[in-house]
Amino acid sequence: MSLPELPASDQSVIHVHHQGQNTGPFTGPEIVAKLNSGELDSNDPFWFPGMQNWVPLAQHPEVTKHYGGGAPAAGSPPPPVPQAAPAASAGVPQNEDDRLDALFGTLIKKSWNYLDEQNFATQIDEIFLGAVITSTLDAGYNLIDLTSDGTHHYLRFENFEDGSRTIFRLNHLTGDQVYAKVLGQKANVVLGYGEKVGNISKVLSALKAELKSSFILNPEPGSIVVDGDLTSGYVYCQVDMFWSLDDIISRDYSIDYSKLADWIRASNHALRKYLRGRFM
Amino acid sequence: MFNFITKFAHKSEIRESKDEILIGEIVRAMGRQGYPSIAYQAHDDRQRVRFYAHKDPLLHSIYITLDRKTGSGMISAALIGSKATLQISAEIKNLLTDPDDLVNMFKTDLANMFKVPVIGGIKLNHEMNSVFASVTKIIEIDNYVLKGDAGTQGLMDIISQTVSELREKLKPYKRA
Repeated sequence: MSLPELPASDQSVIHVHHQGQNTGPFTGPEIVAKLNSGELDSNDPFWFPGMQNWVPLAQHPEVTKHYGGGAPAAGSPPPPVPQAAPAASAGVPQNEDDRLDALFGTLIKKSWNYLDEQNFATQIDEIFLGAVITSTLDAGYNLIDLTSDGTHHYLRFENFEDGSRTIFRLNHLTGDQVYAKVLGQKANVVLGYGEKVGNISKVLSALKAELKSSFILNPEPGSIVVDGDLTSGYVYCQVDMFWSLDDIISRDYSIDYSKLADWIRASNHALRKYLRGRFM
Repeated sequence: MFNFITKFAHKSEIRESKDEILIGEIVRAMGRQGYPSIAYQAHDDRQRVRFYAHKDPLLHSIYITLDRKTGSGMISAALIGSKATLQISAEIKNLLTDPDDLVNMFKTDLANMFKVPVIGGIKLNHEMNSVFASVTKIIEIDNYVLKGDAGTQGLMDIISQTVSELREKLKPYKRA
């Protein structure tokens, strides 16, 4: 096999595979020096841009001659070129065309990875919503209302056995990658618990409490407000919170369902106690 | 606070919430199978959820749309039952797209314009780096809602089988 035009003496572009390792790139005179000092062997395969394959130095004595060295000792015929070797394993491409193709592929893949990162930052609230649905259904509830415009999400569940309801509102606060990296993934969550109150006077008393609740214009975490619904006879107690979505959702899309179920259970437990103490 | 409650159309009967109940079960079942939900579009009688197929070697995402064509009223339910259309779409993404793909997109779009929508027929659609395969089925919600695990499993069997069919259609369009 003939070689393409040899690189100039000052071009560090020649790679040599020596004792299982890729070394270089070297200039031609450096290779001659290393052959003379025994750091490289004449049976070592070499490659520079333009060559199709790696070939042992001993097969091309004109290389060392070109750079001022004598022809390497022929000795025994060279062993087979390490097949698994150089190019693929150590990332040294077989030729310049392959190298550029590989680089372009890497740039495209990196772009997709960036997009995936961006999508994860903006979609984590929807992933979380799915986790809330799963955890609440596992607790014996059924989803009876779902409203979402992509940013504001509302869910309502009912336990058909005891008639209790739980409502969940989520507003994603950090739907931008930069905010998410700095603050973590945060959402404003309103969690509510409701029960049907048979007595109309109890509903009216809830409506009175609701009127008082309306004075709370910007509820802070822990502010419990009351809603009475005359149509269905349900009374709801709700509380505002800020939840860290990345405590539940990992970057690899795995979900800590048991932790989330515990958060919901604890909130419902507190609200149920309040509601029953106040209106039952 | 009234505002919060009025966000929901109050539904005093389970009849009116059957599609939401079904969507809830689909979200749970898909989540358990490793397809987290990544987008919701939900209105009174139409819910659309997109699931991310992050562990799937071929698919990028799956869309499930439940459209309750018959409404949720008592009379329509008595007359024609709780029929709904279930549209399942699968999406593949290719890392690169080129002018030949754009020509294919136009061809597919043109074919879609003259295609009479047939229930059960798989339709392909190109959108830049994505190729979609979709199929629409008519289901009776009552067969799957409030039937316990058996009901959910029945629906998931339909979804899994449909996704497999869509996957076969999309395979030739996926490039490494």
